[in-house]
Amino acid sequence: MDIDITCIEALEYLDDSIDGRLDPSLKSALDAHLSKCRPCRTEKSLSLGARASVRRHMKRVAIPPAVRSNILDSIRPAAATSRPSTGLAGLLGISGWRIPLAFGGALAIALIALFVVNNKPGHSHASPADGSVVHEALNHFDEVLDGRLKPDIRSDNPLVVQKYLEERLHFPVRMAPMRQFNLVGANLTTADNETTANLIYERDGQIVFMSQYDARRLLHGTHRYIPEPVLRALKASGMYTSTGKLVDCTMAMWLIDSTLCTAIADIKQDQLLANITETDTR
Amino acid sequence: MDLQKNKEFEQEAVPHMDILYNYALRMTSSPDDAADLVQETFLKAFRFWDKYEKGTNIRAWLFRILKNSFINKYRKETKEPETVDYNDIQNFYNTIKADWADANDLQDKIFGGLLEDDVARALETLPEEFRTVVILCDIEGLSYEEIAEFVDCPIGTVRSRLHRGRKILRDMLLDYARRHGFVDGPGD
Ligand SMILES: [Zn+2]
Repeated sequence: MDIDITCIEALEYLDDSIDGRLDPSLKSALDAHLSKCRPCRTEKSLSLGARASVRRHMKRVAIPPAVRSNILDSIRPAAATSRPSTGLAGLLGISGWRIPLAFGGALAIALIALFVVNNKPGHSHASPADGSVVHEALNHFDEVLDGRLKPDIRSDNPLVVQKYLEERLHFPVRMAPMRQFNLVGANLTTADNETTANLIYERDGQIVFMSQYDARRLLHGTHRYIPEPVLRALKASGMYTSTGKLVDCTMAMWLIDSTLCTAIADIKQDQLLANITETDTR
Repeated sequence: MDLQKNKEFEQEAVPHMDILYNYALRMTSSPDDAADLVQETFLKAFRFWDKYEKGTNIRAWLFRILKNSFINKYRKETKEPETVDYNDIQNFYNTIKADWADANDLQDKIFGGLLEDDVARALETLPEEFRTVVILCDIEGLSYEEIAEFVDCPIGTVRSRLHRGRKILRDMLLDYARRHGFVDGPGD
């Protein structure tokens, strides 16, 4: 004697039955119900029909050979040149890495990414908050420019600002002393449970906005990430040339140990670089 | 050492390129985007090959990398879901239920005329977490257990998402069929 089931139960079991995952006693109860209930039979028929239609039209295809060989090519040279290394460079699998990491007390800095553009007023950096640190930094820069993102601490003393930030962060902040710009202050922003340190420098109404991230956290599959082209560029040449998304500002990204620094300003590329690299020689 | 890594990677990861590509293609509906996603996935996988725990499900590991990349790229760009008028669907549906008896005939009549575009469009409008399980189960033919590992969820969650996802998909396909006029009433 079969168990009696209701239409609601029958509908609940229908998918399991189609997938062959229904316990045999329930299966015979379902079949018994279907044999005497037309609406449920129709339901089953519609489910099967929809699924068959999906299968019929969504056939498996092979990956195009060009894409496949492209991928294989991009893996092979990397394998041939990678060598054991330490720190973030090792983590990234970067070899032939022209970008010096910090050593001794000196801040050794080089560019990872460089987006260059004309210096002109008016901003439209707004990008979706998609987890890309590039978009995030640009959005924050916009917010600083129009006054929505203000410093939580105001001080031109790098030591005071550094202390304030490091008490609230789990990674070291790198205070880049800039020759031409004055430190205004700093604040912290949080996204995806990760905190970012933001430093604001100013001169004559021009802002240099700097963000610092724990790069290790950006590489571990959380929502936030360093965009793939930037990482790829690191591996290939240490330099990334943008395909032209930025229209009116200059952006630079570089690493000091595992702290990822981003600087954005509405000044010319060489001017920004002069300020950043200035910190090299101090 | 490096050659060893390369060899391992090619033996273990590379054979899964096709299934990842298919999944990416169904998720994005764009061969270019799918190619980019798979490329990004394999570069990441290669870079993090040390992090892959040997002997565990490599396909699931690759899949999770791809899924994260997909979410990073597309989460904010997903289109507004097409609006389905559920009253229309409900009426249509009730008509079918009340008046159509021959199940096999019904399937053909309703779904037989749908085009690949209809199905792709319907899939595309499914919310991401439903789309993923429907693609993996109904197109790729994976088991609930493997899907659970892929999406890092309990099997019960996979099951309920799958049931719900199929139902939404079916309603959308029914709606297309209705709009195409494949079924204009019982008995014709
Ligand atoms: Zn029933």
